[in-house]
Amino acid sequence: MNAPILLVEDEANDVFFMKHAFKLAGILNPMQVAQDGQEAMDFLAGDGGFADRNRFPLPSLVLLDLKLPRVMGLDVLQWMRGQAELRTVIVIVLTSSGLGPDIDRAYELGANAYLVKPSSHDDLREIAIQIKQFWLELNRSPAVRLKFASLMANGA
Amino acid sequence: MKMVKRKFLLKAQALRTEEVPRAHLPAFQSAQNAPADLGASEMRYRRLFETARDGVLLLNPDTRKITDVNPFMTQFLGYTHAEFVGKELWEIGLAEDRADSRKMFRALRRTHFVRYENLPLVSSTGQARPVEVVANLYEENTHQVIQCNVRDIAARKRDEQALVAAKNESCRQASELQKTVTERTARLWETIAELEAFSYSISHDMRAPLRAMRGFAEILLEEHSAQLDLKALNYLEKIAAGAAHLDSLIMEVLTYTHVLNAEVKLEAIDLNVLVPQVIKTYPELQNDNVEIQIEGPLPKVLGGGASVAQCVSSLLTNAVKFVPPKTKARVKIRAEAVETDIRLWVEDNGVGIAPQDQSRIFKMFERVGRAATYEGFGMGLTIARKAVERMGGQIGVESTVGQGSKFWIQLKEATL
Repeated sequence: MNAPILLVEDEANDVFFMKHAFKLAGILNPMQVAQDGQEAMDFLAGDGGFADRNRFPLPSLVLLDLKLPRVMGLDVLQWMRGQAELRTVIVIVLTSSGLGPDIDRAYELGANAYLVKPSSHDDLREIAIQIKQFWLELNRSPAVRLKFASLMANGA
Repeated sequence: MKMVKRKFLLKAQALRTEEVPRAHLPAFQSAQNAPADLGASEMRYRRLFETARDGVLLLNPDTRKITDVNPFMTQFLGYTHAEFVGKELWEIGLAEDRADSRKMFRALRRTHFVRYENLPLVSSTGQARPVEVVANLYEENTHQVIQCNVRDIAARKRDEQALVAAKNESCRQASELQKTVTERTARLWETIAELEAFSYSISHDMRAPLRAMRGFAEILLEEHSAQLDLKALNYLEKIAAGAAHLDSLIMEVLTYTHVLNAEVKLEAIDLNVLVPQVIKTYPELQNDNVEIQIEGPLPKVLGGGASVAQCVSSLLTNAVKFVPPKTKARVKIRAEAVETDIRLWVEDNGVGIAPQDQSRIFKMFERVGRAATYEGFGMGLTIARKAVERMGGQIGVESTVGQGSKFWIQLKEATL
């Protein structure tokens, strides 16, 4: 089974659009949703209700909004890059802000990509297709490699 | 020689008038027994003594007493000539006390010259009269005489004080102004910070519902069109288009505030690289109905990369937007040297702009002519103008209705 994608997004409509676009793009990975920064951190750390790694495995990809309740997206990113287990998880910032300082800061903190939310759903579907083709198919990600390594270790 | 000088002193005693009108002088001349030429000479100097607008005191260095004063002195301090004669210098404030007076006389004997820049003489009524004093000791054969020239410096001191006061006042005002400027600048930065926070909030909060409107309308159009009639589909298209338009307006306002506040670092920008990059970024510039010709090679200009790109994209997207129906948009980009500046021209074959509208198109939110004709002219040029201004440049247009427009931006040439 494909590693899940974690969508960190507080707007219910945007969650719907994203799921819809991913479905149209033919992305089969299950999507987990965290509605604020704190929930994202809990999920990634396996805290609270997310302790069961079989039910809530680590995602191979995180789609991160920046303006979030409780803990802001850039703070989540900074925290992730300080965690040994999460340091190499691919993070794609997906936000409304196309402001230079946010983009610079996101890359400084170790974002792998920065995308601005399009207002058109057609454009969002195009983004989903690009994410599938590049990040999920073409790109070799460390999280996937780790998973294979652990599978082999379990098998031996 | 000795005779003459002594007579001079004696005559000085004899001539005690407040003023010596010219008419009296011949009588004075005839009254003396000295040879005519000596008399004339003496009279000439006597006249100087009597009419001078400076005070003159003559003193005996042995007694340290005043032996003669001129009319100016008597008027100045309010003593009669008789009251003056026999006084010592400390009595009129020219020395502090008897000891000071002796000290001054000793100095005079040694150096034959003493000067005081600023002494307060005291008048008969006890008023202070600031003066500058030059005292000389002259040898007159067997004895010595001291001459003090006294200049009233009250007016000068008043001027000096007024000058100092004015200078202090101007310093005070300057520092007050500085304070006001500092305070206002702080308030301005606060406002700018608030504006930025506001923009940030807008970009997130206002765009989200618009995405919902547009997104759901698009999904309905694409996935549920079979269940809807043409009218409903048409309404949905209008909803999607309206949301898209509002979204682009919000983005323009955000871009404008960003251009307004962002720090612009000037560096050499190679237009040969930047212009093709801008063209590549905008799909509407690569349309089959668009032909963009670059008359190269283009020079380097001094600007901020993002700001120059902003201007070029505004001019190019405008250039292809306003072509007459069924016409291929032809745009020519060329550069021209204007003194130490570079003027980048973007020339189109569009509908052109009437003279009365040419300055208005650079102003925020003003839409020229009928909205349908100039749809979206809105803020692009306003943003470009602000971006150019922030780089110290200029923007302009030359246009004739029906013959296209020639827009230009002008920036310093990068010489490195």
